[in-house]
Amino acid sequence: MKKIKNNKNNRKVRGQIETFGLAFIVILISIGFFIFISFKSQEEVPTPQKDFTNDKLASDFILSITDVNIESCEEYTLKDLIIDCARDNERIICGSDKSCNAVNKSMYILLNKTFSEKNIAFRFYSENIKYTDNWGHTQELLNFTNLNCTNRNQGKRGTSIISLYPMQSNVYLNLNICYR
Amino acid sequence: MNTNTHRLNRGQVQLGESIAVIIIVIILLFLGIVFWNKISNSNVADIQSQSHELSVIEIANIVPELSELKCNELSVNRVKCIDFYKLKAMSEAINSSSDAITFEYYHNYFKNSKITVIQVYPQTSIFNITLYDAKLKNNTKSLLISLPVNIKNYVNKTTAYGFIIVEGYYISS
Repeated sequence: MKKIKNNKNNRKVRGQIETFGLAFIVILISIGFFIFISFKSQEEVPTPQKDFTNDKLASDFILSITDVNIESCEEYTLKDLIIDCARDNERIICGSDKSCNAVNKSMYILLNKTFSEKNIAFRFYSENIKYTDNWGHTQELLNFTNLNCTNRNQGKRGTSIISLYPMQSNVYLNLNICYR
Repeated sequence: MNTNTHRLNRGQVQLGESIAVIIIVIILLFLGIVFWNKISNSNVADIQSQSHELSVIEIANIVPELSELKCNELSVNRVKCIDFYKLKAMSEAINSSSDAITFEYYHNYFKNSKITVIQVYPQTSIFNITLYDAKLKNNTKSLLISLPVNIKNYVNKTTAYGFIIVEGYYISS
């Protein structure tokens, strides 16, 4: 009689343990589900406005800047100065600056007005304009980065090609806008 | 007698279990409905805000392509370029208090928005021209799109750099 009662008690305890186990699993699944939902809702979905602005900004900026007349020498455009700088002539003088320096200064202002002031992350760099600084180091003339925009997290991209004819090469201006 | 009581007890326990299960199912169903309602509401809001954004994008696409504004050299339109004098003339025509017809005409294109052109480079000649303003300020939110553009002055033959800023108004819900 005692044995039967003991067996019943054992079963009851085992049943309770199983129920608790089941409840524990259900609670774990619910918590996991809620964590998933909350993470999912925090993810920023690119809106059409952001997508359009980033896309247009990259391509329109790169297309517009080359035709702009430079502040200190209004008879020349940015494109003229880039070509002069890339050909290693540096014949054009803008105020107190030679062409390479004037390009660098103007680009800084344009990028600042378009991206930095609006907290937009970007990387702007040129290819094929080598520049020797005051310490004798040769480097690419234009290389600007804002808010840690690297190649890893780049979004939209715009490229402009400037021919150095009659020289057989081109200058490339590249702009990457990064999503943050 | 004892067996009967035992059965009754077991029956009561089973009934209690069934009631508990039904209550839990009802609670889960209720939570599900609340959750579904919230999600569908946010979807409607998303669709609404997307449609507002798309209408602002549509206006932003129209403005630089208007032949009333575009630079024209030897009968060829230049891309991403606005003629400064065309801009001035168009702004004066739209914002003239004596000429409501022009405003009405462009209202069909620009709807409830404000369009401004600002020149930021050269820094010595910064300006700001309001091309069109629907002037809807009460209970409205706005979406802003700014696009880089060249501003060409054909008199002194210089090209400046600026933005077309399109601000689309919509009634906040």
